[in-house]
Amino acid sequence: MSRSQFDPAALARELEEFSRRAADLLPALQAAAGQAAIDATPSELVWRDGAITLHRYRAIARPAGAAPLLIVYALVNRPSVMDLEPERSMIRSLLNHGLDVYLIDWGSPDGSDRFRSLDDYLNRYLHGAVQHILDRHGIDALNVLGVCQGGTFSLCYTALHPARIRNLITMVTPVDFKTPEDLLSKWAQGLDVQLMTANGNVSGEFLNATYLALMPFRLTQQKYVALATQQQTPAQLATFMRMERWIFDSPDIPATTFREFTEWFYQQNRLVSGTLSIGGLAVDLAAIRCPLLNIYATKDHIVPPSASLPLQQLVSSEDYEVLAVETGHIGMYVSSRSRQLVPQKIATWLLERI
Amino acid sequence: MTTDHADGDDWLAALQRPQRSASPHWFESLLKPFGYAPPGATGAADSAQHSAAAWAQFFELGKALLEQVGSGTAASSPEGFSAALMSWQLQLHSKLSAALGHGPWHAAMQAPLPGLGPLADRTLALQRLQELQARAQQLQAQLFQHLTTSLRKASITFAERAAQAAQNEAHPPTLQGLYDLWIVCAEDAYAACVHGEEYCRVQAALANTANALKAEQRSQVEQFAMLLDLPTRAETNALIQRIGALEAELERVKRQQSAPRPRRRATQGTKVRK
Repeated sequence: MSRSQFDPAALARELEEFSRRAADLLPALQAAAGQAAIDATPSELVWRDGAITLHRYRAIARPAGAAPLLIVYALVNRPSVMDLEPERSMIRSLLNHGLDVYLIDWGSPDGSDRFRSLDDYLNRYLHGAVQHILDRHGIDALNVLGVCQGGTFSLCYTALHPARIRNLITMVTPVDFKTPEDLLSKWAQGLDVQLMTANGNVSGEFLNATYLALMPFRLTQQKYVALATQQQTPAQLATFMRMERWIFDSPDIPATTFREFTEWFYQQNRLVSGTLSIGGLAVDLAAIRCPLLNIYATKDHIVPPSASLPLQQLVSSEDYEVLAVETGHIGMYVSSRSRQLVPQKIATWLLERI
Repeated sequence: MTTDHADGDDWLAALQRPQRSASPHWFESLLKPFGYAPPGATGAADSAQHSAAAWAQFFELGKALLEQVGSGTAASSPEGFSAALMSWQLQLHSKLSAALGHGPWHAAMQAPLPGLGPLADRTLALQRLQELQARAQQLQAQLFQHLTTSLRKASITFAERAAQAAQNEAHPPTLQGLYDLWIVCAEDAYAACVHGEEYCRVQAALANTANALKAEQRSQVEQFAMLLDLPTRAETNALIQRIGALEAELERVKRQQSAPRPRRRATQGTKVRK
């Protein structure tokens, strides 16, 4: 039997060093938490319907001439991750390229919103926001960037109202909800969603716990241990704390919307089977003919690439492009790789299709 | 000719037959408190004897009390009667507890009670709660078993891979390297477990049971709320839906009013007011 090379003294020294760093880290994190308010790009509230609001970001570069770009984010988590701080702001990067950026904020649903449905989200709120932008600019169609579940919404909306969308970009967007890598889908199959939502809205805490349970050792342990083992500047710690706040600040999901989305998309995969109908209108992805850019993350544990990639076979867009980014789901919004690649690509792609 | 009212135990057997076919243990459980056990059941004789002894003790105690009252020793003063009665009650309680605490009645009480009397609904609701809690505990235990197994597998893989890493003389493993290796092993084993069909089934069953439990609890709290004339979730939901319908109607009327009205075309013969 060969001799093992463990050096107990070296391991003990390393542990001691880790303890020292962890002890130093705590007050530094405390200080960073005080400076971790989200440093958003200035914007103006231009439209609202109840608690749902539409924001237009102030231009910071000469207009490039593209149609306005509406960002449609998911209902889970808040869109602030698109504009967390100036150095990590996808919105700021898009503005830097001369794009006119709008964002729809779904607000914080409460008990009185429990009956809000997908029909409300798509045909009332999203439709209202789109109509406002079209009227404001006197145009017939705009550009849409749909993110995660917001991408799925954008696909449905474009299928229902194709004339209103000039170019569509989907980012980390699930389309096929029943692929072997999709753990969320596997967990959703046996759920009695009717019973679940009979108890009211689905809490953000529950959704957070579910996302953590996808990779619990990495997301609840290693992430924090790594923080102590790497040298962090106060600015890096502030970024870390901003991310922490964003991750755990999840709004509740209206009961009806959660039921419809889970049953129709996760359990019945209606978007792929062509059997989806929202507000009495059939959602046929083949009705989408506009140019389409599909951006996905190769290491996405929430929306695996296999859930995004089938889109090409379902739409009728002849101008269809895929961009793979070597990062994870969250990394798509904030990683340095994504920051360098994605806004540049979106801007170039849109400006080529004015 | 045989009838359903034949002599001996035949009538009892005839009564048992349909009940048994519907629910094999229903009849036995009903008669259990009275010392009845089906023929051939283990311990039937013991149970009957136990019950008979309890009744005999009860009659003995009653006789003793009557004798005390009759002889005048207890009835001579209210205090004397009260003391005799209390002593009798204590003895009765102790004897009956001893007799029934281990007997068929005690065993029958462990089974769910049927909903009887004016509180039948409450009894059944409490039983449902207990059943759901028990089910949730079972499922939690099953889930825990799955996760424990995956951790055990992770530990074995980690030990093997750490031992391999320790063979590398040029780069002996560091503590952080070992920790990161553990995370990889743990996540791999966890993923293999939680993607499995059985795990998904148990987790979904647990979630469904927890939701059913929550719904049952809410239903009971709402009953109390109604007693106190507090608004219930059902009433609030009805109001929310009514407001939603009114908002939609208002929106429809607004749209109608703001839409440009079609101009009335002048037709021949229209009088022009001067």
